Amino acid sequence: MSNPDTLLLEAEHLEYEADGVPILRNISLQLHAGEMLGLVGPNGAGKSTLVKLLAGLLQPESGRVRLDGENLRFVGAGERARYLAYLEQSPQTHWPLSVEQIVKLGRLPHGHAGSSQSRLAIYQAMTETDLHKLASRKFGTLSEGEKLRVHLARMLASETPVLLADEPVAALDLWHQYQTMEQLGRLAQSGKGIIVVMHDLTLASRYCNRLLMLDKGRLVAAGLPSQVLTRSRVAETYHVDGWFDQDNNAFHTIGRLPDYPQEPS
Amino acid sequence: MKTFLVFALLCLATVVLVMLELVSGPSSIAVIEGITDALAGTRSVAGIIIAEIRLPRALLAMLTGASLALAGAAMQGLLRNPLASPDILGVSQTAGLFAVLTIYYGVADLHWVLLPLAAITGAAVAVTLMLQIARKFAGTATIILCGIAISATAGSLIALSLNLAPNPLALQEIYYWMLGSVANRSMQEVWIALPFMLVSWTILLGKRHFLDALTLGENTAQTLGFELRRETLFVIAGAAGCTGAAVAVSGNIGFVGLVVPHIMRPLAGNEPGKLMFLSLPAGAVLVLLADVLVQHLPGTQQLQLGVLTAALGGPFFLYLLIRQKVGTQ
Repeated sequence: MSNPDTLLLEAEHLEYEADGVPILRNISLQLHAGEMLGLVGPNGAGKSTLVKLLAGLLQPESGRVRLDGENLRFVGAGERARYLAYLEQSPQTHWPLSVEQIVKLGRLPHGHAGSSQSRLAIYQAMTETDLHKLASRKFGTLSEGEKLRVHLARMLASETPVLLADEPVAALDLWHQYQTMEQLGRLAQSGKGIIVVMHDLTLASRYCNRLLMLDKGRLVAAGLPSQVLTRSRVAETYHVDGWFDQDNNAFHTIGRLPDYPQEPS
Repeated sequence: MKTFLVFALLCLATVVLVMLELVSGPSSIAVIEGITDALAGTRSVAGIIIAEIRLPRALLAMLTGASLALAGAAMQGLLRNPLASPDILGVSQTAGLFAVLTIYYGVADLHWVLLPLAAITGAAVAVTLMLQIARKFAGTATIILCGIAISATAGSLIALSLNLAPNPLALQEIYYWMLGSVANRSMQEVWIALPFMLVSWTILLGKRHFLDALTLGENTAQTLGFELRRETLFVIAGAAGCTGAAVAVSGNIGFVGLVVPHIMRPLAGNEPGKLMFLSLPAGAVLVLLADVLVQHLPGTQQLQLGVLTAALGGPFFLYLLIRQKVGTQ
């Protein structure tokens, strides 16, 4: 595992447009080992697109993503898969596979899933996510919280230094939201670099080391939760009256602001 | 382990069924003598019947079944749709159309190589068309719809050529070819189909991990280390090669590519990669079994293999659909 503070992933002046409409403008960010970075912002701000650019699923119009200093565009698909794991917003499974079979898919970037190192990685990933009891259950019969754990285990089995997760807790109840964020927090502490897209600003501010706020495709703020989630910036970006309360370590909202009748972004 | 055992059993069944094919036929001959004569190259009646009539028939049933089933398993994995089959891509129909055209214009009678070549060319045309479409619109739904359109077009042109057939002989020839059979073939057909099939099998089995990864959707598959477009094109090419070569030598033997992966899926633990491995011998077993059956069914006129697979495959598939409620997921 990489040393803390090692620069794992870097984006430089990313621009992206779809059908001539600019989606992301001049986005730069850095992800270090041992940190969890939260991407926040209203719907349509470009958070998911940014994660897809970082994962290599989309190519930027200009700017570049660097993995371990190398331009992502010139990194092979296999090497990329051994460096970063990606969890999409609503992960799909098309065949009724068991929990263990899905976790095993996480070893595909490393070739044969039967090798002793692969078996160990799968075992550890399932231990970390407490999935051994569910190993033979069909994925479709699981609850949302369990499904997310399976995908988390699948990502962990890949043993990548970087994890990218697009709204991992969106479909979960409160207990599972906290459980998942705690788990991601532990993984970051163990040295992984994690980027999560978040809508829940309390969870984002509690568990992320830094937040990046996107609005209309631009990066409007970056830094500690208390620096990013100020009342004025939340009003401007979300059109909602809310702020990060540092004393209680929570994000409070009052409601929509009368000055901003339209939806944000 | 379970998969390996099933694979081994299916291979064993294939060998047994090939033997059964060798002892099956309208003329009663001394089979053992025939086989030894055929191996020794002695020109005896039994030897000729074994080497030039029964062996090619058995081999073609085996190869056609294996290729169609493998193509079906691959297409289902690629499209992540248990209802997909090579027919859906329109490849078998286009291969069929090209073959029919050579029969229609009497070209097929000029040289034995022309009919299979035409069918393989037809398959290649369909694949190229699919590749172009896939390059422009990567979505699997678009690919399926285009396949249906291609298949419908080819089907209507086959119907047109039947409608306008120049003479009853051509009509009859086209008609019987369309029904699908491995009877009255020679080793030449085996040799022309085999290389295409072996290459296609190698391509498809080599892409098993990609199909496994696709279970989690195209985005996740890409982040698991697969270049989506490139891998997809390989699978399409492999499935088309299997189908084209099979149709070339055996006509339209339907439902194999649809039903075999269906039956094998639970035994493969629903994994698309393992499913391809099991579908290969299972397809051979199914078509060999069907061909042995048509030879032993009572009646003056021998039933065409394709008619039997369709007659058994259609209702069986319907039964599977109702039982498993496929498509409601």
